[in-house]
Amino acid sequence: MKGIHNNSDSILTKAIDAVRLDQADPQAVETATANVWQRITQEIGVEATVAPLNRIEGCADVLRLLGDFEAKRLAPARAMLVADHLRECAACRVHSKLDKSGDSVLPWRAGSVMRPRHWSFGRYALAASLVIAAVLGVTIGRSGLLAPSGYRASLESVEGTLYRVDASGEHQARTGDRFSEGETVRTASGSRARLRLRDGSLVEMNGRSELYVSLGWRNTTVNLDRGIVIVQAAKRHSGHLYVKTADARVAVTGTIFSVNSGLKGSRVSVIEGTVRVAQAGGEAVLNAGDQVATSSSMGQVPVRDEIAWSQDRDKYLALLAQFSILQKNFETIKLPDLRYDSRLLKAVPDETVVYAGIPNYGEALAQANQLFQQQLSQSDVLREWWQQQGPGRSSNGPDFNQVIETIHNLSQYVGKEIVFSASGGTGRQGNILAMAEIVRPGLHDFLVTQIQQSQSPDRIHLLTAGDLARANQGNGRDMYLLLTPEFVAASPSVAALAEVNARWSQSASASRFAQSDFGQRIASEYSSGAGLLVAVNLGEMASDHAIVAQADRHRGMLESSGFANAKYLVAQRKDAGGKASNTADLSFSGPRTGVASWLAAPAPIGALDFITPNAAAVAALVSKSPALMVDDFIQIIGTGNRNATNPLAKVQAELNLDIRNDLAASLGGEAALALDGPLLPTPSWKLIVEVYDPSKLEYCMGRIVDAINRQAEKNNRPGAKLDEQQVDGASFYTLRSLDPKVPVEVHYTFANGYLIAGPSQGLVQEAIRTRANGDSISHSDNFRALFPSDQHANVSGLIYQNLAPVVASIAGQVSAAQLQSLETIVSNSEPSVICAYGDDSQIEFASTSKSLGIDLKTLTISTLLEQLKPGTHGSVTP
Amino acid sequence: MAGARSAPADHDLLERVSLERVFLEHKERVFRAAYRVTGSVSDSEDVVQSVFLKLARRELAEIGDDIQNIAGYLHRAAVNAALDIIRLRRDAQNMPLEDAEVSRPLELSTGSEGEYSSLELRRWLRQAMTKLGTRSAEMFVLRYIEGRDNPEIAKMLKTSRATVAVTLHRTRSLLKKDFRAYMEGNK
Repeated sequence: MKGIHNNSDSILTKAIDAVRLDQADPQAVETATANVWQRITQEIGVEATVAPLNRIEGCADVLRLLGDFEAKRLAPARAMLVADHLRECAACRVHSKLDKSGDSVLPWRAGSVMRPRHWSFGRYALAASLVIAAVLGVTIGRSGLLAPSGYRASLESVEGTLYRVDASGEHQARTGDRFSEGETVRTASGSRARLRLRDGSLVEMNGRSELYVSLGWRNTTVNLDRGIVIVQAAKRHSGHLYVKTADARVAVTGTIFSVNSGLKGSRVSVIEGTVRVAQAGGEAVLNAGDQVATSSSMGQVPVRDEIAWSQDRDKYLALLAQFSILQKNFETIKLPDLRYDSRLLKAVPDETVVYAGIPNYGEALAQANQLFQQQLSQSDVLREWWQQQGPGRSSNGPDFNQVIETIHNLSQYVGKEIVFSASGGTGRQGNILAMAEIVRPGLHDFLVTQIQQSQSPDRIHLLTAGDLARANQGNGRDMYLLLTPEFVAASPSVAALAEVNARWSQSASASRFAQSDFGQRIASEYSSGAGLLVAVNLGEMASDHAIVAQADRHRGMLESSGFANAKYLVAQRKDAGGKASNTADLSFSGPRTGVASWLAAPAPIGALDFITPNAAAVAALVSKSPALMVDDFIQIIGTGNRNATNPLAKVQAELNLDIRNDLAASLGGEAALALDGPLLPTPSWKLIVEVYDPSKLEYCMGRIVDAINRQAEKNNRPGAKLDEQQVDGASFYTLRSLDPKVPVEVHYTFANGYLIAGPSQGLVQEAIRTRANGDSISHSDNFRALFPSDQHANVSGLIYQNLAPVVASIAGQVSAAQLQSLETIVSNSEPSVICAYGDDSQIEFASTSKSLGIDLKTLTISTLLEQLKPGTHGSVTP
Repeated sequence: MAGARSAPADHDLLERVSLERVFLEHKERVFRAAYRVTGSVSDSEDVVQSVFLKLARRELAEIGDDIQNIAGYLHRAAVNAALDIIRLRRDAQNMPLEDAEVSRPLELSTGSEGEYSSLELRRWLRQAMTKLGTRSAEMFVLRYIEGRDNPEIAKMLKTSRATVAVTLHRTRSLLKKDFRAYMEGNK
C-alpha cells in the first residue's frame, strides 16, 4: 500500500502518457471520417458552408425565417436551427403552423447520440436510418432517457401550505419533500415556499403560484403555470436554467430575477445579473433593475415592489460581507511608523504597573472614517444598519463624524505617541495618566473650545505648570489637564501631574521607572521598533496588597498553577511595510512550573501530518509528559481542597484505572485538533494524539466504557458501546453512545504512534492517507508562509484558521445570496496562524494576522451555522 | 433532402468558408483528440459528426472569422464532446453522478514487476476523468493529453492562468486520490 501512495504521481504520469500515446489505426481514422462526411453531406448538403455572419441569433431571426421554414424552403442546416429554436421557445412556437398541426421538433443531439454505429450508405438505408433515428429521437426525447434520474426539486422551507397536485387531487407537502419530473406544486393563498432545484438554484414561490420542474440532458426548466416566483439561479458549467410561462421564456445562469405569470401575460424583473427573455415580440436582454412585460396591458411596477413579498433574512450575511470589505479596505490605510524611542517613558510615575504606548492614530482614523463613509454611500445594507442599529441611529448623542474630526484635530497638535499608564501599590486614587508631546502651537485654544463644548465643563480643569501648586485635588470625578509648552498630560490626580511635570525636565537616568527592570524591558521594545505596545508588570501587581487580599483564598492554587510566578506581560502589534506582526511575551521570575510549564519547548508536531491543507481550523501543541501534567493537576486540586485527592482516588477506583500510570503514561506529548472537511451534516473534526503505548490506552478505553455503562445502568440510562473492526489489517474502534439524547459516535484507530479520532471511519482513514501521501498541512507552502519571521524553527503550539474551505464545503447547503455573501467575506479575509513558543522562563505568542486573529470570520461561522438550521434559509435581498 | 440548396433567406450571406474544406483540414485532428479521450473509434466518429454538424449549424457565437480560430474551436469542441460521450456512457451504466465517488473499482492488476499495463492505466484514467467536473476535465485533457500550455488554456477558457494552474493541481490530486481509492477498493 505504501508503494501505491508513494508512486501515485508517477502512476498518474504513466497513465497520462498511456492515454496520450494511444493512437487509433490510421485506416480506421480514414474510414470513420469518410463515414462522417458522407452522413453530413446527406444531412445538410455537400455545399454546406461555415459563414460567421450567417447566424440565427434569436426570436426575431426565427420569426423572419418561419414562413420559409414552414414552406420547407430553407436549407436543411438552417431548417434544423429553426426547428431547434422552436422546440425550446414557446413564444415562437405560438407562431408556428407546424406546432399547431401537431408536428414535433426533435432535438438533433438525442438522435445523433443513439444512432447505429455502422451503416451502409445506400439511399434506402439512409432513409431507413433517418426514420429509425427520428423514432429513437422521439422515444428518447419524450421518455427523458437522457435526463438524469431522480428528483427535480426539493421543498426547502414553507410558510403556509404547499400542495403536490396530481390526478387524485392535492396533497400537502412537507419540508424536505422531493418532487419528480413534471410533478406540479402549488402554494396556497398567503403561503410562501422555497424549492431547491438539483442544480442548486432556489425558487421562491409566492402565494397562489403553481409550477413544475423538468430536467433535460443539460437544461433545467421551471414551468410556471401561474403566480410569482423569484429565482436565484446557480452558476452552471453547461446548459441553461429556463423559466417558462405561457407566453415567455427566460434563460439565465447565475442571476436573481422574478417572474410574474398572470391572466394578462408575464412580467420579468431582474434583481441581479442579466437574463434573456424570449417572447412573441422578440428577445430582450434585461439587466439588474430592468423589467419587461409580454402584454401592454401589464403596467410596469418597481422591481422592489414586485419582490416585496419576499423575506429579508439574508441581510445579516450581506452586512457581514460589507464589514469584511471594510476590514480589507482598512488594511490599506497607512498606519503610523514604528517608534524607536520614547521621551514619555521616563516621565511616567515610578510605580507604574501598566504601560501602554499607542501610536498617534488620528490621521489613520480620519482615513478610516473616509473609507467608511465611502462604503456607506455605496452599500444600502450597510447604510440601513448604520441608520437603524449602528452608532448612526442616535440623534441625541454626539455626531459620529464630529467625534472623529475632533480626535483628528487633536491628533494634529500632539506627537507620534500617546502614553497611558496606571500605577499600583500605593493605594492612592487617581493613579491613571495619559500624556503626549506637543508638536504644534494652538492646543490651548483648541482644548478651551472643546472643554466649553463638553457636557461637564466645570469638571475639566485646564492647568499650566504654574497652576499645579494652587490646584485643589477633587474627589476623583474631576479631570485635570496639564498643558506645558512641551507636553500635555491628563489625570484625575493633581499630584500625579505635578510628579510628571517635575520628572519631565530631568534626564532619563533620573527616572526610577526608566531604570527599573520593567522600564528597561519596555525600552528594549522601543529599541526594536514599537507599534501598539502594552506592558503589564504582573509580579508587581500580584504583590499589590489589594490584589493579594482578593486572591488570598485561591493563592495556594495560583502558586500551584505556576502563574503566581508570572513577571511581565508585554504585547505588541507592529504594522510595517504592509505586514503586521502581533507578539505577546509572558515572562516568569524563574523557571516555569505547574500548569504554566505544560507548554513544552518548540519541537516538530508530527500530529499535523494527519491534517490536510484544506483544514478550516487547527489547534496543535507539544506539551510536557501527560503523566507529569496529572501530577500538577493533583497538586492544584489538592491545594485548593485538602480532600480533593479522595474524589480522585474514588474515580480511579470506579474506573479500576490508575489515571496517571495507565492513562496519562500511555500518551505522548503531542496533540492536534482540527476541523478538516465538510462542516455539515457533522463537522469533520479530527483529533490526533501521540501515543506511546497503544495497548495500554486500549485497555484504558475499555475500562472507561465499562465504567460509563455501570454508571448508566445504575441510573437506568442507556450506556455506550465500543466496537472493534479490522480494516486493511488495522483495528478501527467505534465508540458510540446508546443514549438517543446524546447521539455521539467517535471512530478511532492507532497508526504511526498516534491515536487518530474523528466522527467517521472514512475521515480517520483519510487522515492516515494524508500522512502517507505527504500531502499534509505541515508540508503546505501556503501554511508555512503564514508563520511569523523569527528565530524559531518549530513551535510549541499553534492555532490556525482558514475560512475558505468551510464555505466551499457548505456551498450546497446555503442559498445563493448567502453563498455570495460568504464568498465576499472569504475573499476579503485571509488565513492566519497564531504561534506559541515555550521557553524556560517565558511563553511567547506571535502572529502575522492583521486582525489579531479576532475578526468577523468567527462571527460569520456562528451566524452561518445559525442560518443553516432547517427551514431558516434566507431569501432574496435585492 | 440534400436537394434543397438555395433558399431565399440565404441570399444575403456574406463571406463563407466551405465546410468541406474545414472538414478535410481538421477531421483527423478532431478524430484523434476524441480518440485519446474516448479510446473508441465509434465514439470518436460520433464526436467528429457532432462537432462538424455543430459548426455547420453555427449555434455557437464564439467562433471567430478566421480559420485559425475555427481550428482552436474544433479542438476544444472535440475534447468536450468526447468528455460528454464518456460521461454519458458512464451514466448509461446506471451510475448516477451523485454516486460517482463510490463507483465500482476497476480490476487493475500488476505485472510481474509490479508495473501496471498501459491498457489498464488508460482504462482507469478514462473512467476517472468522467468523475471530474466539466471544467476540470476539460483543462486536464487540454493540458496533459492534448499538450496545450496553461496560458493557451486560460485564453481558450477565458480565465486566468492562476485559475488554470490551481485547477490542474487540484485535478491531479483528485486523480491520484482516485487511483489510491481504486487500489484500496481492490484489496
